[in-house]
Amino acid sequence: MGGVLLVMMKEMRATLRDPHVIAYLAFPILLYPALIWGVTQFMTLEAGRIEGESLRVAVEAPEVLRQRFDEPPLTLVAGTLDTLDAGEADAFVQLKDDGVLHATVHHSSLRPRSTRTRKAVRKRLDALRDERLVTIAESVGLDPAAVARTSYKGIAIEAPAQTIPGLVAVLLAAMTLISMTLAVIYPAVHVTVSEREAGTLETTLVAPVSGRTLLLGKWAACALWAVSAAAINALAVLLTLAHIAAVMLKGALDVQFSLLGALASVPAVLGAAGFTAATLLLFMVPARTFKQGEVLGSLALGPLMLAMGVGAWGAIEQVAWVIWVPLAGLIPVLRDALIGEPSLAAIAYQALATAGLGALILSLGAALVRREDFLFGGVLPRWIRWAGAR
Amino acid sequence: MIEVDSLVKAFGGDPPKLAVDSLSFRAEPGQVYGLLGPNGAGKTTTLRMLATLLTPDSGTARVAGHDIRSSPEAVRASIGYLSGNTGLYGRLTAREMILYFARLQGVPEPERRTDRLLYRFGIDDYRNQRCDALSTGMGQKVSIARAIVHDPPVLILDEPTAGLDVLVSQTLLEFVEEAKDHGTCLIYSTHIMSEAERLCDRVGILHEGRLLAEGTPEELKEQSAERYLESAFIHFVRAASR
Amino acid sequence: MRGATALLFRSELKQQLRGSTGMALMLAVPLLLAPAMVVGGAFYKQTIAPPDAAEGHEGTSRSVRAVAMPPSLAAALVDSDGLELAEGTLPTEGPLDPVLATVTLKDGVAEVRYRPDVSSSRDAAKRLRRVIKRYSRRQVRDQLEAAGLPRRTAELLEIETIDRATEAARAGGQAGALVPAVLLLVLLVNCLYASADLVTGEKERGTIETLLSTPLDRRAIVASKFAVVLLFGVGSALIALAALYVSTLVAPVLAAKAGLAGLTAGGLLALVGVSTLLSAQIAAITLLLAAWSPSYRAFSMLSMPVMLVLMIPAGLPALPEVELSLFLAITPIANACVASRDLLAGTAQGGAITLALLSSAAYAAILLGFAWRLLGREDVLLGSMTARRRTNRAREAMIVGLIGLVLVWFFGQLVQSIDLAWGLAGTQILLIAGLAVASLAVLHQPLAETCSLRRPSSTNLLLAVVAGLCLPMLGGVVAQLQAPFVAMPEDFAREFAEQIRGERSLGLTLLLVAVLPAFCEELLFRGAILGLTRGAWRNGVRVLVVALLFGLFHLMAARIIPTAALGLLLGFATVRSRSLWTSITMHGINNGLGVLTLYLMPDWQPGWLLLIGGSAVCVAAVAAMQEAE
Repeated sequence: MGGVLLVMMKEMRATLRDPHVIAYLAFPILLYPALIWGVTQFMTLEAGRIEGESLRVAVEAPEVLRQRFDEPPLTLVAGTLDTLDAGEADAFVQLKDDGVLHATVHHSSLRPRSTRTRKAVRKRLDALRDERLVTIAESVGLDPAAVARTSYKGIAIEAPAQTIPGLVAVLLAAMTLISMTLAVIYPAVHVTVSEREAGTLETTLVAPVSGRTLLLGKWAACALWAVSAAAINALAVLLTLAHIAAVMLKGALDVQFSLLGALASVPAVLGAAGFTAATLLLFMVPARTFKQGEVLGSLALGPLMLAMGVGAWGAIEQVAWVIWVPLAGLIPVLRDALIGEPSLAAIAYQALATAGLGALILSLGAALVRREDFLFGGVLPRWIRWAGAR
Repeated sequence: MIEVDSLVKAFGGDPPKLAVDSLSFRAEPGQVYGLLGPNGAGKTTTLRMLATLLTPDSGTARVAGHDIRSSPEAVRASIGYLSGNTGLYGRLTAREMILYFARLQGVPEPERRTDRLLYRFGIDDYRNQRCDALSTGMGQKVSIARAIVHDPPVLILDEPTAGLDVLVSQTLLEFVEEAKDHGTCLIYSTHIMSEAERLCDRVGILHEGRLLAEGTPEELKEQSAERYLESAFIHFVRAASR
Repeated sequence: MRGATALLFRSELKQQLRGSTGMALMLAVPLLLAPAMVVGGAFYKQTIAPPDAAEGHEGTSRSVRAVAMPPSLAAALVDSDGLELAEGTLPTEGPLDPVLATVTLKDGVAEVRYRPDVSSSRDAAKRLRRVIKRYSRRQVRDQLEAAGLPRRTAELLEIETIDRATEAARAGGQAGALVPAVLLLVLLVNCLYASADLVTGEKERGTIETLLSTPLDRRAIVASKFAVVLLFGVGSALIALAALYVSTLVAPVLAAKAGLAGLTAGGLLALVGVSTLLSAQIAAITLLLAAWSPSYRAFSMLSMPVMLVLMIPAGLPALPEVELSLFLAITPIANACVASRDLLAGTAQGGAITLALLSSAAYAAILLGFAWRLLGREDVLLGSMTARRRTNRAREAMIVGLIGLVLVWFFGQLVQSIDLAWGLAGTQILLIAGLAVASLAVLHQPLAETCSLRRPSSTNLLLAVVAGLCLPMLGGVVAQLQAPFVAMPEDFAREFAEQIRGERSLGLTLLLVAVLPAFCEELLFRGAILGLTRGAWRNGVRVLVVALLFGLFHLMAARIIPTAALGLLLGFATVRSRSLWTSITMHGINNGLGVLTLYLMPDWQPGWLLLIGGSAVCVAAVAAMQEAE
């Protein structure tokens, strides 16, 4: 145990002194605000541009009606179909009036401004029709309200878990788990392949510590790293959410997470961190060079990301069986915990399942990999040629 | 102190290549045993087996009284291992590096031992510098201190001067002589004949995994009727290839 | 020179072509991506995406949705709605069975209840919208009939909509939403790999030293490496486009489902041009990154975040509202993405496309220039060996700037949204000035010396007052110049003014908006950050970088350039006079004038003559500042 701690502390210290890894860890804190900022600034600029533009419409109609198309946001321009095709008008309307309004609206669905113009024209035509309808209704002594249209009103019914806090909790859980997985690749490469390349693994292996101690120490360092990455990422997401809620939505978004629920789910997160670290370490076994370690790490990401995807989908679509899938089920479980409805059984199951799988992978690795393979790497059959292999 | 008994090690491939072919020799305390051989002779594989980094296919060896097959950890506790390949943790400081190994080796009072070694090798001024910022010479001294932090009775040195300049090699050679006088049993592999001639009490000439000749440098020169160890070495290797 | 470049280019290309990984990436990524997109897209459309009920596309609906509604409304149902009547209410939790949505009628409003978390429920609500429209029409008709008017009376309007965009062009637009993303991904992967191998790999292997010891011009080395990376980028883009085109030919039905039927040979040919420019930009970026990285490890750790950020613009073409406006046309990467879509749809407008192409070429050239300069530096060329001996603290300065941005973004805006006055004061004193003092303390740098806190000569102080009085004019000129590209949102100025004035006295506003920022922002930007970069770059570069950071700091796209222009003058004033007090004076007066105008003459607009004259005086005053001994 002391040996494991010793190795772990050394690995943590060495990893913490690598500025690249630190930059990697801090990346979310920069990325999320930058992304939100970029998107809102772009949308503000676009909205400003769209609001300021006039929608040019060419109209062929009796003059009285024609003038009705010269009110904002529409601007009347001279011309016919050619002007539309030349891009000097955004729509061309032909309007005949024989008591009934016969309108032909020409537009181009590929030009965003033309689509906006078509919608504005449609609104104007509906207004013209409603005016006439009211006149007719009044002429026969009918209440204008009787000819008013029935309007549509959508009311979203939300289950407690599916309210906005629920979705935000899914987002938080998924982002945190994904960045946890991403962040553990480089430490995993560091403690294995990089040591192989630098010759320090040979130095360590001649010390009287068992391979198991060494493996556990390295694994513990990776798992601890995964937990810190998850914590930093969760912090970045929460800060960004707080910013969006307070500054952008002016308090319209009120999301309160349960601290107790978050604390209760810590064992499951720890289990997931251990599982992720074990998986990535296992993938490092055949790697001889940093490059190969990186490629193999990315390969390991595939199934892990798939699990996250399944978890997020299951959480959003309320698929019951997903919570029994190790790792994937952590997302709905975390969601429930964060919104204050933690299921202790599910948390315990996830913690045990992920930790158990992690332990299984570790012992599998320890059993399969001989000491000398650990030293040299490359235990896979020779016909698999790894990228960049000499 | 070291008894090697028909060690065999083959590496994968079809057919497997015999890297070490029933190798046997002995080395005593206070003695430097030199393993001489061209590249690919099996020197590194032999020493790695003695350091329990590799498991022999057959045969065995006893190091400081422990069998390398049945009690590898006891073997590792009684050897110091240094090779041209063994590196330093670039992001640890010199002191942290030695201290880490002192703790891994279970040395009592690791801090005191580390500080004494730092003082002894004259690297006290660099104790808090990261290893990747050390000069080659300083780095080599840290490596030596790391290897002997637990005061091992056996030292295994695998081409330790590979890639070092004359001045830095000198530090190492002096250290080897000092350790020999101290009663340590040393195994020293090299392909530099002048080093072997200077340091080794007994020399084994290794070629394609087999021991071609063994004896003191003088005996070898006599056997081959050559004036220099280098010529003797070439004589044996050529005779074996014929 | 040309001969040497060609020779190098051939040799580099030969080596790249013999590297199995590079070739595998170049061929496999596009060749696998194209069929994957066709099959995946078709699968998505067929099984996952909800049918376009709201758009009113004809054809039978894929599945039937059960809904509960009053009988009067149910009479308006037709078969093609794909809706089925059922009894029951909508549970707030758990699976929905069988009712997916319910409707109640009340006072001319049809309330539709649905569960936003269940896609089939959302779809049912969408379909109900059509039914309600039909019902509404029928109701009006019935009312008129009851009043003795013929049923036809309600039919007052007949609309025929004719789309001038041809079927082929629409399909092109659809394909254009997806293709740029594929291009960008393929380009990024290939350019990143080639750059890593050609520059970082060569540094690690030490072969760059061999290359440099030959009598070759360094420009030839950079040019040949760039050419190879570019070739790999363009090559992979070509393969991707060809693979997509062949996929649409081989599997036309699937391709149509995936929205890729609109790929024509002509449109794709036009894309080759755009991809070349896109490749040039990306190749220059990746080369720059590779030149900067001391090791392959550093490069690969940097490249993942860079790739993530550069992929964001690929989403733009999928948004139908986005068009190639002047602003977008000069936005790197994004312009090429949107231009690709417009070219495929055939809606490209000559002016915007030309601007996009020209600006893309310009960006590529600028980035390449940077890469060339970087590769010319010995410490960069020889990797980490010499780079460690740094005396300046430019990197730390940039990190301080980033930390400031993050702090203001997260905490500054948050406290300001709670209480503006206290928030502004807290941001300035704690986050901005506090950061300056704290970072210098952490880096063990003397505060007064780093920040040039020394007394200016009286001439310089006088010039600073003059420059400060004219500074608002310069901001005005820059804002006017950038207006066609990036317009200041109209209500921003008004809202800002109202927020600032609120119920506060003029004195308090002056303190919060003029005095505090003058001291605190200058201490951080022209003081700590500019001071830390001393010795790292030439003065012009230092001032420019700090000015851009200062512009970003105001967290609004429309204010970046005007604020950066002010920052430029403030920076030059500090550098020339070697005293921070000059820029503090200028900054304070500039902001103070703004506040006074707001309070005293809110509707005042300066004329062009005043704007240009003021700017000239301002520049002249800064230029006239003299170095104190």
